[in-house]
Amino acid sequence: VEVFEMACGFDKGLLAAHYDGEADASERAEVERHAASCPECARDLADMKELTGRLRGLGPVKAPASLASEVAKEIGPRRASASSRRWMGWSLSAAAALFLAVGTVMVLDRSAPESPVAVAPDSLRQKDPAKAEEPRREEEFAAKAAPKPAPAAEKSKESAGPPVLVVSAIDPSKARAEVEAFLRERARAFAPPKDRTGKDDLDLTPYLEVELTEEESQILEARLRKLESVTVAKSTIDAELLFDRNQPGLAMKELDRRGRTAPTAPEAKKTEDSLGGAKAADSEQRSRLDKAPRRPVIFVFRQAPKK
Amino acid sequence: VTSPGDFPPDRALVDRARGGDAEAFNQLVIRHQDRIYSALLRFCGDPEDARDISQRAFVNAWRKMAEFKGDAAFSTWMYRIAFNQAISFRREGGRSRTVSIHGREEGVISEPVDDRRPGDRLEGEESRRKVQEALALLDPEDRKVLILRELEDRSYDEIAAILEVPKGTVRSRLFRARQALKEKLKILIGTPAG
Repeated sequence: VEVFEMACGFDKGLLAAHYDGEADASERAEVERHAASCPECARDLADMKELTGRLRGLGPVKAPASLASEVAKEIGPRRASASSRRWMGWSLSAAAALFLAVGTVMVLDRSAPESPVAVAPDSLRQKDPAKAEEPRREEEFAAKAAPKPAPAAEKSKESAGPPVLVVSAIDPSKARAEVEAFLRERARAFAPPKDRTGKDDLDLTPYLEVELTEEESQILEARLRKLESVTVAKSTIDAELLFDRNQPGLAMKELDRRGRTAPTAPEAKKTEDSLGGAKAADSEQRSRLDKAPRRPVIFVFRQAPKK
Repeated sequence: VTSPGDFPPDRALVDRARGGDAEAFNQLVIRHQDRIYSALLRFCGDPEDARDISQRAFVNAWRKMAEFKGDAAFSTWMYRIAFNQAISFRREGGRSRTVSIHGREEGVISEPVDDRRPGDRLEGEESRRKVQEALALLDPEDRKVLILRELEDRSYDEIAAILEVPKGTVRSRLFRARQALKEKLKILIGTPAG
């Protein structure tokens, strides 16, 4: 431990400790006795007070609003809680899962009848820097996946990530606002929605990842369905594929096809009826729902295809 | 070493995060981001660097979560990681935008609520800028100890744990750092701090 002394020979570290309220009773008495007769130490104490005033004038600063979401994005959903991990069943490595998922999509596409490609909103199209290269990539992936179609499809199902709900609306921002309102009502502030795009330049952030219980998910779906001109479809597309930066165009194209063709799930309608009014059920079931396990659900908001 | 408010909620979240719960870790980030960012902003003097370093520090903490034994407060551990990250960042070259003597980096100087006359406000702003500049001129160890004590209001015990030095060193280093800052301010402002 270095002892800092100046002309008067007093231990200046002790002076600092006294100033900071960190000296014990005997030390305090020692400093006070000394400072009463030492102009240098008395001045040092006054200077420390002055400096504290200047430094504290800098004031507290708040972290940028996006810091936590950036960190969340980087540590990724793959490292979610143990229960989520079990539920998601993401046991494969990222690369293997992606390869299998893409392979599956391509294989299913080849066997499915070709459906008309929906018009993606401009904001989504802008997200794709590699748009020009899409068709070639698509073919490459299809070729890679072709030799082993059956095991690939099976594996992909096992390793599927969170369910993706494709919400198509004339005004997707209203649908998104409904989801956000629901989250606010649920006071889910401790599990903020993750903005998967982080793109400030988009008018509409098309993805939202939230954690919901099964019932919450159903209530929210029911509420969305009540909005005018909104359809909700469950997508079988692998969430990882959606957010793979190297294949954005591919994922969106696939999503367009499925979002357009997937019918409204009949079981969702049944859920809505059985709840007998989502809002009433909402308050009654709150405490029970809060105890139920939550799992990630990804909402994708898109403009309803033009008729 | 604990600080008010760190236990028990942090402890519970830390336990979950150590088990791989990313959501629990995210809550820790939300809880500690202001203090970590604030300390880093004062340490490096540049908002973008502070943001980058904060992000790296939290990601790094997540990766090291299993190593965190929980014998110190999470904030103590986090400050240590953050400062180490800041030193590495600068060593790697970072963006090398150390605050300049004439720098007017937005966001470095926060704007406290102030109902004084505009002239006085400008004077206050200028004074705060000089203090930030003077901080940037200090030896990193001096800067750390001053930030932790004067801006983050950490106790000597916590500072000793964060900097991994004996408490006696914190005492003397604080005195030395204050002397150094006083000298820098004398040069920048032209008058002694006292």
